[in-house]
Amino acid sequence: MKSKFTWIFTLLLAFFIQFSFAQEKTITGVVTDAAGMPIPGVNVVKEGTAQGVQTDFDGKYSITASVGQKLVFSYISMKTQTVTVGASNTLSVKMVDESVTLDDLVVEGYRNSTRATSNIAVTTISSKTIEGRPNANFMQTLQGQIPGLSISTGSGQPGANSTVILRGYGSINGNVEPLYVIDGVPLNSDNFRSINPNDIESVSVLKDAGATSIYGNRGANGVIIVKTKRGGYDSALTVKYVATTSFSKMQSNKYHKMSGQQLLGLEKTVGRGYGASLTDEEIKNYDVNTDWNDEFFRTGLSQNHVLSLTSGSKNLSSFTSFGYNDTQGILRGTDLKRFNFRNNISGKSNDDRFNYSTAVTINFSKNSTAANLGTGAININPVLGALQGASYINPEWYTNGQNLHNWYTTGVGPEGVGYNGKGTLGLSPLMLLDRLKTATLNTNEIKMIANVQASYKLTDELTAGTSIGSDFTETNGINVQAPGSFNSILFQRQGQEFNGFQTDSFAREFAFNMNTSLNYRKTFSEKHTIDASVFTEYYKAHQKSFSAVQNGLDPKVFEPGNGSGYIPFNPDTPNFYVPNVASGKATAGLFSYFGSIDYDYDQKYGLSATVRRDASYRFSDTNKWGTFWSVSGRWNIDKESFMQGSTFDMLKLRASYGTTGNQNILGQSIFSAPNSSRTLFDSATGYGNLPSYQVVQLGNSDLKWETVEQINVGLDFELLKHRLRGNLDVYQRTTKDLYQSTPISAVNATYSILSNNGSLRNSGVEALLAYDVVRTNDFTLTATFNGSYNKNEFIKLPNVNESGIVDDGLQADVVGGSLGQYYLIKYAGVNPTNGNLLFYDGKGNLTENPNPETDRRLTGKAPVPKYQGGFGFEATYKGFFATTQFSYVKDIYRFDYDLASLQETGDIGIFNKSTDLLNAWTVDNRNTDIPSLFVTNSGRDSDSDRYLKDASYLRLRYLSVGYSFSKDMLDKTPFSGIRAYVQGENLVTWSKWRGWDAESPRGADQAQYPTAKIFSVGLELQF
Amino acid sequence: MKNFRILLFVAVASLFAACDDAIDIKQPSELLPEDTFETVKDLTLGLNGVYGVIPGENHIIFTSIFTDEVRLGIANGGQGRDGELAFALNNNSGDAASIWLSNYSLVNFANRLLVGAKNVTPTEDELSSYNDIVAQARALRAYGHFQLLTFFSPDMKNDNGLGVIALDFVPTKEQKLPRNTNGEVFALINSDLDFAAQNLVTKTAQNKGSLRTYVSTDFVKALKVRMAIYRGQYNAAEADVDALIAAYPLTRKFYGNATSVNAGSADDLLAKSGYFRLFRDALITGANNNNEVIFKLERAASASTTTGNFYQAWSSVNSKTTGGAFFEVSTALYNNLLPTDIRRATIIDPTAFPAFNVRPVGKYAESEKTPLLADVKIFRASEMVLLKAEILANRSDFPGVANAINAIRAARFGDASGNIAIPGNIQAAWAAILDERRLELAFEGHRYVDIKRLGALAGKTVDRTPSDCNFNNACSLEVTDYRWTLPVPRPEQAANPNIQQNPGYNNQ
Repeated sequence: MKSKFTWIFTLLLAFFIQFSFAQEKTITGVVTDAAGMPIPGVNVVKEGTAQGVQTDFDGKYSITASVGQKLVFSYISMKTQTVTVGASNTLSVKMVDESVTLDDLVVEGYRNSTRATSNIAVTTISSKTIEGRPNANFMQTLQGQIPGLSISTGSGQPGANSTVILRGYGSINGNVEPLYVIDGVPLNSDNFRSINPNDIESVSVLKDAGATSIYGNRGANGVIIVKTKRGGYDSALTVKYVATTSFSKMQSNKYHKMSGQQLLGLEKTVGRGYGASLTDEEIKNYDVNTDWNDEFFRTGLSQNHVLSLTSGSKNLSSFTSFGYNDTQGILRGTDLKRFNFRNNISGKSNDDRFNYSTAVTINFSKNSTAANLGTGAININPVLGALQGASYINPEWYTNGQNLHNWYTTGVGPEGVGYNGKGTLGLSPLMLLDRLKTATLNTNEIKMIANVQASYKLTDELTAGTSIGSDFTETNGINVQAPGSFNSILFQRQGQEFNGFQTDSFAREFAFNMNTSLNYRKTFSEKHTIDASVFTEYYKAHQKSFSAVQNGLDPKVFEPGNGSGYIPFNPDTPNFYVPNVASGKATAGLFSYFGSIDYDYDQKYGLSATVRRDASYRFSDTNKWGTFWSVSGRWNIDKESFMQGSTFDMLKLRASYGTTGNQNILGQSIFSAPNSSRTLFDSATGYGNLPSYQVVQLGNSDLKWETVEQINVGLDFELLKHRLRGNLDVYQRTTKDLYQSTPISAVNATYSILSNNGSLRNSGVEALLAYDVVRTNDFTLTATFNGSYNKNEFIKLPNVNESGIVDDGLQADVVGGSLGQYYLIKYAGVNPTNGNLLFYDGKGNLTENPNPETDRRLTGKAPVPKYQGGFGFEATYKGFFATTQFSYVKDIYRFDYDLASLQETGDIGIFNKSTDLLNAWTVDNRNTDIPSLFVTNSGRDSDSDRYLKDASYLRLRYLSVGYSFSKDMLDKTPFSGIRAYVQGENLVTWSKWRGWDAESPRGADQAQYPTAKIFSVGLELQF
Repeated sequence: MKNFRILLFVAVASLFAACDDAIDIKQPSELLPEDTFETVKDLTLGLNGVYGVIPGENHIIFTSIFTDEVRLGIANGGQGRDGELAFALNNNSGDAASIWLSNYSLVNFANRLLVGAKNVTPTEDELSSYNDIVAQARALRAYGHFQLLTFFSPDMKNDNGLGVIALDFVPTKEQKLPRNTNGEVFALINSDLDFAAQNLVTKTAQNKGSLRTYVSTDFVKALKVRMAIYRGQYNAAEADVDALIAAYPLTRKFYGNATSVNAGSADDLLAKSGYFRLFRDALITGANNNNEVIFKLERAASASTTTGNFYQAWSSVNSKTTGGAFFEVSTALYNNLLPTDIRRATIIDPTAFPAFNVRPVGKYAESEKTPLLADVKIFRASEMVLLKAEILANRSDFPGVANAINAIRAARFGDASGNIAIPGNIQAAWAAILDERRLELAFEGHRYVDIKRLGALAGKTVDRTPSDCNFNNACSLEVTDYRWTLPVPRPEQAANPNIQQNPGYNNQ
């Protein structure tokens, strides 16, 4: 009996033990970040297997695993953690931010490394920062977040391109913006209006030569690598819905425009305009006071909806998202509507040796824009109407284009309106209202980016890989000046029955790139790791464009975008209705082969080198190829024995030196200046519109690669138990053989030719700091700061005159001075004796009549900031969270031509003015900074710094407050997560700049579309 | 997985095979200089390209604003206030840069055609048209050089004085050429004109039968006359000027049998005034209706624009009183235009009639139904008559001067009511010529150089009415001022350290 029992018991025991060893149980838990916030989308994988799940919206996960098995928690920009399954069925993990960790992923050009073993200067921003923000273009969201990266938009058009400059302007005529690589596809331009920001997983900015040299042919201005979201293997379906509603409005300004009565009074004083014809009594009783800002601007209402689905099986994972966005601009008539689709798939073989992934996005956007922004086109640019429209004109006086034209030509307005306006531009706000109501200007864009990557492990050490990508953009533009509109009638020719025009334009760009690589990676003697790769890269791009203009439209049937109502050609009036057509095509290409080698000793020392040979289609045969290289190294000081027990948790010193090339001679487009090395004739419209041969381009066969040499020394550190973390970089970038338009004698039929000349240097410091002020379970508070200083100076210049100056008019280049330095007569103020403008001549004496040839001087001021950055804090308390972010730029100057026009006295009687003029010089008001209304040397300020203004600013760029519902609260709902928040963009700006928007990439601003202040409400749901 | 390996291999292999097509790219339609001129027909198209770059408008616009032809207009938004109207002229001035560059473009294009022509061997049948093409190109090159001297030479009467760069070859981009003397430039001009005179196919009869928009032997004569007078070589010009005056009688005020015209109606003027038709580029045919144009630059309407070559020059939309005039005809010029003088209805747009409160520039109002489009008149018979008057004045033939001027005035007034008296002295004679040129050649690009050439002789200078200039107090400029010669523009100085700046301008 006993024995039997023992046997059974043993059997039972064995069974039990075996059972308990093999038994898989369900482990659940919450993954949170350092602040205790749940992190959705964390990959939870059983070590050594491919099985895994992803955390849900609330950071929760559920996985079956057995005791003793290890779970690997990984998330981009977070430290990967490995935890052993114990007795407990719950396993909650607190992940730490990238900046806190040693081991998380670092995106490098063609490979990834960890933070400890990376030698390069890179800053990564994760989806957490980008998601849910109401900026149609994701680059706008990154402003003030990445040290050394200057992002200025300077346009409130929804989806407008930002000017992005990394570590200062590195070129004059060539491309100055970084290369953008989305999922391995290099893009030709920074047009992101069709890209859905919510699809973005991370944005990494590669800065030093160690990082960018591998992008040799296009890496000279830094590289921005965008990765989109992916699903994890073995994960359940997660559905996430994000909705944002936004209200945007104009930022405030300090122009102080005059009221109707004030303006009439001013006109009476000067004796010009409508006010001059009215009595004081009539002015006092005048009851029209229009704020034209309200007529041309509005509160923009915007909506954004994104639905994403993530799931994964053993060998396949996918991420699919749909987005819809409708953003109204604050300028009436401007908007962006967009539909996005993305599908990212990853797959692999059972043995993990073969991996592949695809990323496909198809987007359609419709962008309605205003025309002639930033120009003085008084009958087209609506911002001019808002800025300068006379406040005594009533918008209700506008009825239609024909009536307005009658008024303009006869001086007889609507009944009861005394304003004449015949032949002057005083009626321009009404002309612009007409334009607003009748004109059509929009661009439809289809943008597709597709990429397929595959790799195969030939052996454990050797991997072959390929990446094939394409970028397809098709735009269709419609530009209609409606028949019967004021402008159409105004420019109608005698005998012309039908007016108006429609321009249909079409452009298609297709770029293909293919990268093939072979990678060898092996660790010797446990401590020596070698990682070496060779690559070839092929790039080709094609462009096709076509446009047709039809003059003469029948208003009865014509509708914008359609050809009904096109008036046929009439031989009696050959130039009235004949369509005008244009067509073009272009091809561009690059080819490269390159290699990299990386050596690591025990994660303590590292050394990397890259070398690259590049060819560009742009140059003559002898200059086609360029060679670029880099070396970089690191020393993980914290791994040294003498650092044991120090307050530093991590300390790494890294340095790099290398070169990169820029072959975009003229601007950003791969298609511009395609054959500048050759002198070319072309068939041109000659004398009397007859065909002719004319020389159209003077070639420069000496054109060659512009080269950037960069040295960078950096320090990454974490101390006080990871409470304080950050990095510090010092760099010097020198651009040699600058693309410039070099002056040549006019006997060549042109004043300038593109050539390589001179050197420009940027040197600077960058810092990124984060400090956890409070770190408790319920309450966390983290303060962040990033900042940079950049000095831009010419090292060498061609064709300088005796004074060493390359004179470009209002700006001048000089060795030791920065690019775009203003070169102006110094304005001294108002002459108290007569109210005229006073200036300093070249010798420092006061004069009313300065001579621009001799009296301009270098100002040391430029339109590019020397200092810039941002700071803010993130706080959480239980389910509540709050984030603020300030951004600043300092030491930046720009002409305020809007202020100049509001203070201009010459056109009093036509346009509105600033109340500044009420303080104009008179014999009784001699001490003032506003000259006499009858100033006789007003024009002399055009070469002066009178309107050159300090455009430094500090801006509350972003503020967000919200609440995340806890799992308990959602127990009885179908939701696994709910998050709600309110946020504001550009809420407050502190600046000396008086205008509508202190932010701008330009050296002078006139009637531009300002960026908006945005309030939004967001809701995120997860099932 | 084997299949995949093969695939990868193919991919890699194809890559190396295909790399050249990414970097050896020729864009579509690239036309190299050596392939451009292969036949005489190609040269014809090349010549058309040379004609296409003859500058016509820039010196006219500059002259009108810098001197005393305009005042601020009703729709002025700051244009010209700080520049030409303030007599602001320096090496940064756009006018100088534009006039310098556009004329050198003409010379450059002509030289490229002449180089191309050397590679074309004409057949016997083609020889005369081949020579004609070369002759036209050389005549245009001469015109370009002469325009440059007109505006940039401080003293054309001094052969040893500072001229411009004489260019009879296609320069390289590295070349930094100094200025030649006036004498050297004139020598090149003369050799071009002599060749042209001998080889041009279009002579007087053919020119008169044409639209007069191509170079003829009369173009050569007219250029020689103008050049001789500007150089002070009065006697050298006499034979040619007499021949031209005889061949091209003055256009009359009235057209056909008309004896009166409504000066406020463009349609009526077009029907009844020959002189008005001249500036609207309407055909002038029939007995007794003379077309006095010797050469004009053709400006054709194009399908893509609704405005012409003087768009945005003085007005933004059209030349009507409601056409957005930045500049209007100056008060002083208006005051000198009598009501019966047909020139008032051409210089000032008829829509200004009768109040003349707003006075848009009307000389280039409309042609081919396109506003602000007009051919640019380069040589007219009336200029020849006035150049003849200078020859006579130089000889102190005062009755002759009065006769010449009155010949023009009689044609413009339709009767003798506008005739002047015989000048009493030499200064009065020069003054009468200068004043008549001001009216007859208004807005044709002469006033600037006329004040420089004749101002001292006539005891006159720029004439701005105080009400026109009190906004900036720039009412007069001494005739001896350095600004009566244009500065070498800054872009040329930046490129060419060997170029010499004109006196008075600071050589920065």
